[in-house]
Amino acid sequence: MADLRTTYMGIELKNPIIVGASQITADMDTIKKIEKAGAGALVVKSLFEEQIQLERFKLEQELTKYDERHAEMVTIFPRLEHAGPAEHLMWVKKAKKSVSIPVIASLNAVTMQSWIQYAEELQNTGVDGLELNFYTAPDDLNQSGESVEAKQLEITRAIDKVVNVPFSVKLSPFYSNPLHFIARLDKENVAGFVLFNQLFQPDIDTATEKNCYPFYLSDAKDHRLPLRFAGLLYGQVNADLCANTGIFTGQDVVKMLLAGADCVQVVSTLYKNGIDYISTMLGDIESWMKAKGYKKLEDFRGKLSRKNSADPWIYKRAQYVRLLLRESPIE
Amino acid sequence: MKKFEKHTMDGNMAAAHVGYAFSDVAAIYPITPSSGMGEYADSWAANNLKNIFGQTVDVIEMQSEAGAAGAVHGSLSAGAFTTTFTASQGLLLMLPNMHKIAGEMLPTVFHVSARSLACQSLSIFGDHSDVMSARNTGFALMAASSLQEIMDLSVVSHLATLKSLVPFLNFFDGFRNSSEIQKIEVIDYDTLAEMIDHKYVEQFRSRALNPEKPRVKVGAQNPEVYFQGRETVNKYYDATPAIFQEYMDLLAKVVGRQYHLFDYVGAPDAEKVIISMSSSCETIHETINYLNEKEGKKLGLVKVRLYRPFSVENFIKTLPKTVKKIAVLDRTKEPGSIGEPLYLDVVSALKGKDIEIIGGRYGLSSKEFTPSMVKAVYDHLDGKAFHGFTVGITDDVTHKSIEVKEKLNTVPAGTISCKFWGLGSDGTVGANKNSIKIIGDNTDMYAQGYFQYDSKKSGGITRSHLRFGKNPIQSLYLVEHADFIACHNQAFIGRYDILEGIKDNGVFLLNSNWSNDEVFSNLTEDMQKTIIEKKIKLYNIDALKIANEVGLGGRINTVMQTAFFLISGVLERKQAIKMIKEAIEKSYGKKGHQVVEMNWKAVDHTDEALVEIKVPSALPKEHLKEKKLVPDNADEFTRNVIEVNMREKGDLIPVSQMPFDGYVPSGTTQLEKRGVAPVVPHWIKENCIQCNQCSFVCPHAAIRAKLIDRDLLKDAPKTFSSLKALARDGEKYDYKVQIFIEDCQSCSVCVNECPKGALEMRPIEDEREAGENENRKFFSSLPEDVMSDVVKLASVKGSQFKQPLLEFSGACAGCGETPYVKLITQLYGDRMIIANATGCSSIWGGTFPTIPYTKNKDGHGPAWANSLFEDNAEYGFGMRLAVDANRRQLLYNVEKALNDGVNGQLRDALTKAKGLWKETTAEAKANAALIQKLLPDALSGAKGDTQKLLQKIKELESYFIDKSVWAFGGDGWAYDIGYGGLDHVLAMRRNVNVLVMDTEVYSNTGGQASKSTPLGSVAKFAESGKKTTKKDLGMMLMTYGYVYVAAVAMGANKMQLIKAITEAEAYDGPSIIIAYAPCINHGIDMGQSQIEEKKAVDTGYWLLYRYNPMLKAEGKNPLILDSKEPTIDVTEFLKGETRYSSLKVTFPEKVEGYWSDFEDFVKERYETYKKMAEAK
Repeated sequence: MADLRTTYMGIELKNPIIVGASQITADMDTIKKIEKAGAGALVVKSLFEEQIQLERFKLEQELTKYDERHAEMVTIFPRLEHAGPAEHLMWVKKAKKSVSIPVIASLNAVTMQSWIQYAEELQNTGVDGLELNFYTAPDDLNQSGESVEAKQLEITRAIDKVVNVPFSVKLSPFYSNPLHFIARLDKENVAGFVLFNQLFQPDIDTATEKNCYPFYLSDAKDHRLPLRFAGLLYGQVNADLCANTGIFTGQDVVKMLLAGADCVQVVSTLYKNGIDYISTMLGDIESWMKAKGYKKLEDFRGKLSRKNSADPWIYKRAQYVRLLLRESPIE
Repeated sequence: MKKFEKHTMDGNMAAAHVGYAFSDVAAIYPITPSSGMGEYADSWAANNLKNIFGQTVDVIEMQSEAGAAGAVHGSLSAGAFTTTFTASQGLLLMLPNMHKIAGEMLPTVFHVSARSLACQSLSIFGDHSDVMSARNTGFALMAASSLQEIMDLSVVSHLATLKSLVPFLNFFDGFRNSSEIQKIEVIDYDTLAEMIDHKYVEQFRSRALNPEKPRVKVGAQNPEVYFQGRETVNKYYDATPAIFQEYMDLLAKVVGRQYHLFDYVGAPDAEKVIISMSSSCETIHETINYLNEKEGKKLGLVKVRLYRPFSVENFIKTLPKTVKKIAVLDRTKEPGSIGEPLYLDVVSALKGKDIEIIGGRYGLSSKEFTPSMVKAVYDHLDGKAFHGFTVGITDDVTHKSIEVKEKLNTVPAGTISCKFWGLGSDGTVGANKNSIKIIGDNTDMYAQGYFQYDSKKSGGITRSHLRFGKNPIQSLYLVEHADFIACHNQAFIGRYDILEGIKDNGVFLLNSNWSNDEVFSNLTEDMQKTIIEKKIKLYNIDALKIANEVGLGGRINTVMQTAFFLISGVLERKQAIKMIKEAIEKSYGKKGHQVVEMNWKAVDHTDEALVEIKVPSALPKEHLKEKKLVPDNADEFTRNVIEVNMREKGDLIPVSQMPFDGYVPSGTTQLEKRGVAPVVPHWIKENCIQCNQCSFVCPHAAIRAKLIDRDLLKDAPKTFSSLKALARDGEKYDYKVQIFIEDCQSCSVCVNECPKGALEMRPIEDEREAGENENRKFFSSLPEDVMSDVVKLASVKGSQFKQPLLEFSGACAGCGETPYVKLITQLYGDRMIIANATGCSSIWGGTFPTIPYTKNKDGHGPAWANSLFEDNAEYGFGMRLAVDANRRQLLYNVEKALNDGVNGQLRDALTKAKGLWKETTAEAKANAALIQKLLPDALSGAKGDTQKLLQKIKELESYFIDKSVWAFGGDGWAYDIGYGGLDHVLAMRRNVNVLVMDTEVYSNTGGQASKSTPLGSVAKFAESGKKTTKKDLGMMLMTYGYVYVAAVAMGANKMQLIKAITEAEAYDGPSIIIAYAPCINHGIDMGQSQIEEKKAVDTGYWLLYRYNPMLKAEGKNPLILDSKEPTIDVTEFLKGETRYSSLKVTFPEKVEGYWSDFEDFVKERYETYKKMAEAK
């Protein structure tokens, strides 16, 4: 039997499949199913400060919407304060207790104060690690890329000062040079990089001529982006690499490992194929390893990374030229 | 001297701040306008605020004020510093214990926001009739005039009670002081802790009941010693004034404000002096400052601080030697007395002095008391100077009122006065409170706010009165001379006198969707004239448009607040923008940058859009006509009282127009046609299946169904459309659903209830244009109560062909209570007597002057009355006793008449009536009507004893048919304050029907927890969710075995409801129906209120059952469980209501426990009822 063990953020995982932060990891029943299906770890649904802000706003609206209508009913609810992330923290604590596989908490805050507060409070729930979800969707023509990076570095440093558990950074591919930024973060005790998060992209409904916000899963082809960057980063950074997006099958996991990832995060495939599909994927990895004669992941991890590749052009733009010159159309 | 922080707060907070500081325990019961004090204390306790002894106060909500006073007494006896907060009837319920507390010399302070007592009517507003009822309790009575005095003198009372051992009642004017917002100096707890003398704290603790040093308090004394016992306390009362002064002096050293038992202000050589207490003193003070300075008068005022014990010596010392004439003002009425209490005290104190003293009444029920009225009182002293005068009203009956000749403006220069007209819950009041806070907290200006609300709970108006100035504001009356007036709703134009009191060169801000070019022509002629003549600066803004543009939806408050800041002149424009933006960041920062940005944008857009409108120099041809509010042919009462009130000019109604005994005509809400619904239902007849469910559930009786004889349709307006009635209802009929669009409240309950999509909401303007008002008029002219050939009255459909005798109440849109009452009136309204407990149902059911209970074509309809909160079961029971007594008397007379040989048709009818004595059928009613018809002729033809006998029968002729006696009320009454009486009345086994409209919270007083409030539900006094389960009232009452008990929920099972009502009514014994009533306090979309009821039953949250003792007589199990086993988890219900779901984000650690216990509770309860229902 093949040894699928790997290490991510210094945490030993029994296999490289991590279930990413999503609705699947927001429910106690599905969390238990994830463990049963054999996942190596899970990242619980993100704590979003914006969501808390929205909840706080809604709570006030709900509590006050009938106020000031009658001299005896100037207010109808007591003066209640939103408890901030308390509900989420309580839930994370419960999730951690309910499974024996490593549990990673994810967070996305708006203000520096909240980043620090949430990181500390999430750590106190007993989770094995944190995932800082640096989700930014650029919408400001006046904001420089440097200022975005500087802010995120500042957050990373501040969090490093207050937490003891390892933490990873999940970031988008939309930096001028993600590799450079990752290299800068790598110097700040970041224990892992998650490549990459999905950018919020509204669509347009042409019939109604309105914006719409469809729920969409990643596409099978999406895995090429993390694959490329895993390949580029393998052996170049101290932190562990976790590939994310478009990983649907055991074969996809193998590809990521070959490129140099230490592990992967999956979500869409579980929506599509069910949570039990994790065991199928694991079986497929094992079968592939058996067929190839590999006993453990380290036997082939990074084999096709830039560092280990025989073809130095494989991760370069020249590859594109080569593709164009091919007689057959690109897929 | 220490510098204290200034904060803007209301009077309740000022009192609660001090009460909390000095107390270990607060035992309270909510009552307007004192509820705020208890709520502040509870909220501070929930947040672990420490009192001056370093402890969190134990704030306990009791079942009534009587209970609260009992708990206070016990707590004091056992050695804890204890306080309470109350008003009005609440104080009256405390009186027995107050005598005991004072009799036992237990130091305490009761904080009272003084309020009218219920006499000819309840009033929630302020006067001294309650505190004057406590004069003989032995409590010291301390009156504060302003918010600062509430803070300051409460401290003095708390300190003085400890040393004097005399308990104190600290009072201030309900609403005028309790709910007014002012910027005042707050005395911090460290300072208070330093002021207390711990010697007296130890003394108090040492007097506690304590088994280690046992003391026994005497239970009974007999004639030989009781009298002497009463006289033992004299020396304590003698010493109290000096002690009180001692602490006033201490306070002066600490805070720099010196008070005396009586404070004199005005000319040192005044000849004319007013003596008064509480908020009036501020107004009088401001007025005499003005009159003495501007008109060279020599007027004076004595402010009474410590009214009891009354120090004659200090009082005389306070008066200037020059005084010749005194007017004593009392804010209370003691019918039949020589004079009101303060007057009698003053006369007694000045006995033998050569001073002319008269007394007068003012300000009852927060009636305005203005500088002009103050001047009228001084003028009266120079004129007729008769005693027993009134000021502020027109008494054209006994002519006791004095004339108020002019309209003085005594507000010091530099103070800016502003008035805002808004719609209830539109954010106007909230924004104004926020403005006061912004300006108060960020500038050196003083700020004041006072808010008036409508008696309607939906679609009512609000008026905000704000003042800002460099000096403390003494103007404790509404804004009469406004520098700035804002109208936040264009629909008010032509209905109310919006510009009343605007000053020359004042500013008028209107929110409308009219373009700047058309605004002026959309104003009434009067308004146009005022604007031109007074050179008013006119501004118009489309706040809704801006709010929508920036993403704030319908929330116009930021736009209107910004506009006020920009043009009112209170602040410089640039400073205003900066300040409001900072305030927005502070308020919304934690709610996300997006929300802050949206509001900032609203500020910028307002700044850009707000331009002064050019006013023509002469009146234009076009203007808006004053809106007609009542029909041209309306009766005198409608024209002279109802319309005047509807225009918010009720202060002008003279005494002669008012009913002397509280009587008010019913069926008058139909005159209002308020037209407040932006969208109303539209009937799509093609989809209609004629089920009448829309009409059944409508809380406002604004959608109705009729069967119409087709022949009558020939006169119908062209727009009037109907359907052929279903065959079983009658071949000759058409069927029509009519929407009363001007009476609709836009709740959508009917639309959501319709099973076939035969209703949809459309803009009211469209429906008006489509002729719906003409259709409604025609519909109303058609015969009522046309019944189906087949469908029974006691059915969902049949009941809705009967005229509702409750219509167009002022209840909240989508109210869960009114549909129950409406249905009962459809079934029994023509012979109902209703006793209604104080609460929401007495407010929407009986607020002057328009009454929603109405009459049928015969002039019959519910006879309705409200006594108090706590006594409603007994009140209804008394009605039953009276009806029975009158019916007994009538039967006796009938039998005697038959024996005496009355003959002919009348004899037959009387004989038949005797046989049908217990019947209420159509046959019995027709026979009773026949007797009434025959009696006049029989009387005129009879002689001697027969005539006398027939006269006696005529006197009671309306009792041939038994009355349907009902007691209506909410859960606060039935579960808490009235429970003892309810239990007793039901145990009496007489035919009284009780309807409990169970909203599971004190709805009317603003959402305090009752014993009906379920586990985990958030309410005031249960901020982190109620810790105990709901009391099972039905189960408790079933134990009698002879009480009919039902639990119903209209939205879940309409037929079960009808069965319960008809069975309860038919049962010749006591019955109670507990009806689940969704409420705005639940935090739901009220358009879904019926659906919410269904969900409540489907999840087992609410059980449906009927316990019918008549079944027992048939040898059957009396309990029928109408609820099926819950099919959905109860947490699905809890998730959907803010009162439960909010806990998830406020106290998340509590939710799991509460909700899992709730699940267990629901299962257990269902199993218990099931077992009981299945028992053989």
